[in-house]
Amino acid sequence: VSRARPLALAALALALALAAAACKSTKSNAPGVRLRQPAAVAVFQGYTLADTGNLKPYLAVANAARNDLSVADAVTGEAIKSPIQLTTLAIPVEERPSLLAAASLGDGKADLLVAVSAGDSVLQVVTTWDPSNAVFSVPGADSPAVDLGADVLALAVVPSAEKTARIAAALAGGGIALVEWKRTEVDPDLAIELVGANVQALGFQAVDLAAMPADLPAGEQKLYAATQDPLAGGLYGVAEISLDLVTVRVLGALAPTRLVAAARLKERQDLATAAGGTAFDGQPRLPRVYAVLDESACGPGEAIDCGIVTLDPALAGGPAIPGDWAGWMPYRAPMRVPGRPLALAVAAPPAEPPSSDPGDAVYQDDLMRLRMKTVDGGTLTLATSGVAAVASDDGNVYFLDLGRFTAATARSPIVARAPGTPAATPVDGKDVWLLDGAGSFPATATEAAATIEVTPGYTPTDTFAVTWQGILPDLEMRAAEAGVAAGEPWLALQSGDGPDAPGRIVNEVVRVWHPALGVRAGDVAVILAEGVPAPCVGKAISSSSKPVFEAKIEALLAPSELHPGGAMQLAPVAAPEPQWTVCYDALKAAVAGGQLLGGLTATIRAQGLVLVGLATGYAGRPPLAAEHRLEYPGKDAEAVLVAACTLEDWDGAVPAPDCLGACRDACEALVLARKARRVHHTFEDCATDPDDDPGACAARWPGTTFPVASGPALAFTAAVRDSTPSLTCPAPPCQVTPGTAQRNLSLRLSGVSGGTTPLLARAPSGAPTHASGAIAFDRSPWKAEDGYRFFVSYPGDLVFDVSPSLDPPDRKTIR
Amino acid sequence: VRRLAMVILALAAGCGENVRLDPGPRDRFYFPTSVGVIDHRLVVASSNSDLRYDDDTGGSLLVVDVVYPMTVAGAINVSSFAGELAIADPADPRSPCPVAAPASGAVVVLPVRGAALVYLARVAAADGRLSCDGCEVAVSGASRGDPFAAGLACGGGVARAYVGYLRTAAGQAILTQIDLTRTDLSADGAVQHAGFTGTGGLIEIGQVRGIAYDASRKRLYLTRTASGSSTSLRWVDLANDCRIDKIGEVGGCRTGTTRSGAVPAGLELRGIALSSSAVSGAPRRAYLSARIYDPVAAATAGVRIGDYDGLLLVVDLAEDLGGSLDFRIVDQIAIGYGASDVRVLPPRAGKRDVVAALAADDGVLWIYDDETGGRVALGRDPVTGAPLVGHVPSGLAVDPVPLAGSAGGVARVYVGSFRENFVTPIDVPLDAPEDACLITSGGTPGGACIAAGASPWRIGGTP
Repeated sequence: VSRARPLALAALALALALAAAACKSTKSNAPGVRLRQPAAVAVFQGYTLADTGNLKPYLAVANAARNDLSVADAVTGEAIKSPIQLTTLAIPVEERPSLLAAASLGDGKADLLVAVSAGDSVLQVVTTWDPSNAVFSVPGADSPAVDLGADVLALAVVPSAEKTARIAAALAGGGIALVEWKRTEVDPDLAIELVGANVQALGFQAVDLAAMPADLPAGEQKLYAATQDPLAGGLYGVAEISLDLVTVRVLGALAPTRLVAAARLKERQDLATAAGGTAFDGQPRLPRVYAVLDESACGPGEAIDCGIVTLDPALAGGPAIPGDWAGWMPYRAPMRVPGRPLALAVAAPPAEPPSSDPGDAVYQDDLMRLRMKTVDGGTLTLATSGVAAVASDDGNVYFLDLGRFTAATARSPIVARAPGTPAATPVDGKDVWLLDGAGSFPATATEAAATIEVTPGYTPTDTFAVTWQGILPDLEMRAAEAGVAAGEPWLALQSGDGPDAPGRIVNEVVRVWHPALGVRAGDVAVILAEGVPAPCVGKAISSSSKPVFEAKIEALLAPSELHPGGAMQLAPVAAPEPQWTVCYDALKAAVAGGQLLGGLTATIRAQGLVLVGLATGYAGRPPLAAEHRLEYPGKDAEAVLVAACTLEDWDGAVPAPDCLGACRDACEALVLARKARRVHHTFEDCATDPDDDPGACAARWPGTTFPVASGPALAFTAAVRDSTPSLTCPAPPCQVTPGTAQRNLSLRLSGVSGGTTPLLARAPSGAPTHASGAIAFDRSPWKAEDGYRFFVSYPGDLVFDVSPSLDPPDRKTIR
Repeated sequence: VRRLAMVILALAAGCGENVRLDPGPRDRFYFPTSVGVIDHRLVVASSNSDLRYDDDTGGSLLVVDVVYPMTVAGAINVSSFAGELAIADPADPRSPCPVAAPASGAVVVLPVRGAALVYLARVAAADGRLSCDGCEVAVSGASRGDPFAAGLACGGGVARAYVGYLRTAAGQAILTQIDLTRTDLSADGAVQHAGFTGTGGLIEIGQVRGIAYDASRKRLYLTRTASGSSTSLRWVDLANDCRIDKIGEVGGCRTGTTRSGAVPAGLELRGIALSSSAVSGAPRRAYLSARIYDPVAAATAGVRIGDYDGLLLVVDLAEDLGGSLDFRIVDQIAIGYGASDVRVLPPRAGKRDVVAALAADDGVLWIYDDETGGRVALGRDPVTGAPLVGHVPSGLAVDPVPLAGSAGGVARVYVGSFRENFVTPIDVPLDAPEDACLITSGGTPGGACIAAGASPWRIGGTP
């Protein structure tokens, strides 16, 4: 059989296919910008090889790993090709560029573009006014580059007079510089020359800088520096620096700061709930400074929670956080974002509205668009006066609605109520369950959840558990040592080295003296028997657990060199197991001579119900069959508690302040109050989301008047009920049987939430999470629908181009 | 007959000698992996990485006088594939290490991967001669191999060497402790192996890479490779002469980690060095190198995915209210690809530390001044971009005793070059760290920085 014909046909088919392929118009993929470990971004207007005759906006990206700047079209994000068209334009700069700043000279001509190499003191200047884009790296008579004499750590653009540009630089060693350039007189149309630099010592280390936008009167323009150092009067916060670099005033923020930004904007009327621009009617434009608080000194145990705090320059010289709009807290709570902020940028309203639609005309000049979702999944468009992007180390870029001084959310937090899903596990025929207002046990979890009170703006997202004689947070199976005081043993949760001696090393010190841990007289210490001398053998709770014995915590002992975190004076429990008595006596005998007994392991349990949140931690002791409210007590009450609590700023040093009785009560109240502070600035009411049923909304939040809604983070009434068929306890509430039998009766409240789902954008998969820089850019003059943008750089060779002006947050990736 | 002939032929072949390669050179470095300093002398471990020399003796440990041309004061051959080295020196001014008598001088602790040995070589204090009379300790085991990381716990009567492994069963974090105060290392407890478990009793994944000891707390800190979205910093307390091979039992050492999430996701901790100043009760400042990776992909794959950049983390280590290790990031400085070794330079009166950190893949050494926040990158020719400390820097050491040369003294830093077989000295004026520079051969400390475009002094290489 001849195979010639089929082969010939196959060859013909192949030839035709090849010919067809050849006839197709071929188009290679457009090359990316080819970034290499971006460390900083800036947008400048100037000339490049892409368009030698027209001034255009370009995105400059500092490629740390390649010692150059990549340049892309700031409008399209497309790469600018190099003279050799196979590659993209890269401007060589000195070793490892790490900072960029671009400043307009206000004359409609090419901008100043400055680059700084890592660990360098020189501001290198890129010739944006010439398509060659040469770089002045070395200072000199004919060079606009300048050496500031110390490593440059941060840059900020400072508005200046027409035909001049100014850039401020934070310098290593506590210095600051303000450098000025001007349009050269020799070549007035193009070039930029250095005017001079003013370098001053600050007396503290600035770690980030910001300045107000250009529309502030010249005399009112200031620099703002984030710093981790204390400022005048021992206050922490942001330093306001006059432009002659001589006068420094503090904007007190209750904590040190790491990142700073500034804006001039309208803030919503305190009680405005409108999504549109009417929320800002009649409001003045105010200067505002935004700072990321340093995590070393903020949080639930500190004077202020972590997040991005708002500061009012009008209050410079002292505490500068504006008051709480709802009047319930002493200051405006920081805007919280998950993770640790790494970059912060603020965008002002765009110059052009996003479309020619008359309805969009409002989104320019004073207002800008920010898009959320409605309850039905539609788009809820907000008008606001300023938006910030915060790049967090969790990989997300979060947005802040600065006009409403709140973290932007994907949808209104009040369109759903999330008191959690109650679930109880019966023990010995009983369980812990919620009581309703009539004193009855709801039949279903849904009905039980309805009895829990949560408050949008105050309720955190967490899972709570109410447990009978539950283990106190952080106090399970801890290293412990025992000694003797007043003839009875004490127990300290710590791990020491060797016998008692001066300078003894003590690690794992649990500061039980501090009320934040929730230890009280009357609580129960459960001690492993294996560390106690014979004849103690203890008693195991189960076949898989180690033998233990229990003792009552009779009192708390103040910290000393022997027990620097404090100790718990022990006493026998009221109804002990026989072995408990044996072990207690053995422990007592082991320390009777004043010696320490180390190598113990102990767990501390509450004497009754205890409320613990996975994230919140210790949240108080709910009474049986009476309401427990985890609630902020009001704007003046916290100060009263601080005054009454001598341990408020105890850092663990020995000796510690005395604090018993009323002091301890005040301290515990303070601890719980700070866990119930505002977590979100809810501005919505039942009419804000047009898709929400006003009647259903009102029923969802009975008795609440939005947007104020000051209330408990969590409130409920729990009691023990009998779930046995025989109903040994027919009338609620039942009592818990003393001893260990019904220990761990627990009611779990999972999924408690204030309803806040952050509005965010996430860098694409395959990217690292550690943003290296962020800037804002108004693209509207060139592409109105894109509006304002944020460029966020990541060392994984990409820049994220994102805007919440579109729904969902519009995101592009420039690689 | 044919069968007989074949048998005879086979026997003849069997009687032939195996070809045995030469021992590694003892007059030069050959694929050096780690460096150290003792009494102003340089200690260099060479790995014979290409197996040009004999497997069992192809590596070397050299002690050289830092002069041009270099002179070898002591040398021994070691097995191939040397790892990091650590020097336990009784005369170290910062952390004297009371190693066991009878021989005087310091002990160089050198894990060697291929043979799974740890060498405990003696350096004679007088002249730097090296000796190793049965100083090898076999550390292999079913669950571990390729010993590589080396660290020490010295001070307060303690002298212990620690070794981490590149290969462990299930990727578990395993650590070996060798008691350097003992002469009989076969005795019970002289050599102990510990495998760590994490939350819920699950084995802790990630090989030990960085080791640092805080004598003021008798606490050992361990970094390890990342295998998921995040990692942690582990600590082991060495109080009460506890045993690390009995963790969780009576008499076992206490151990724990930073809280979940304290180390940001996507950061793999590598090197660690503690501040030279310890203030009782105050947080202990630590400097860690970290590599940035993709935590999402890593969580899926179970191994670190990507290596996007490196950071030098400035961290305060303290205990929080609950007695757990707090990891407070004070500052983070991008240092480039391959963040690896970190060392603290000799202390300065009344000032914070000066720190050296290596970005190995970028071939850059960073000097960071924690007092001012200033930093300087060394290692690339400013004109040509050529690597000055080698294409693949491997090993970073600091002379614990400053040299004369400026008012505050000059710290001498050494960077080894794995590929080019040399070690580059760098001088850091302690009162002006920003003036750190590569130096000319035979240059006086602090006063002989190389000129732009000139070649630096490369010990073991060309001048």
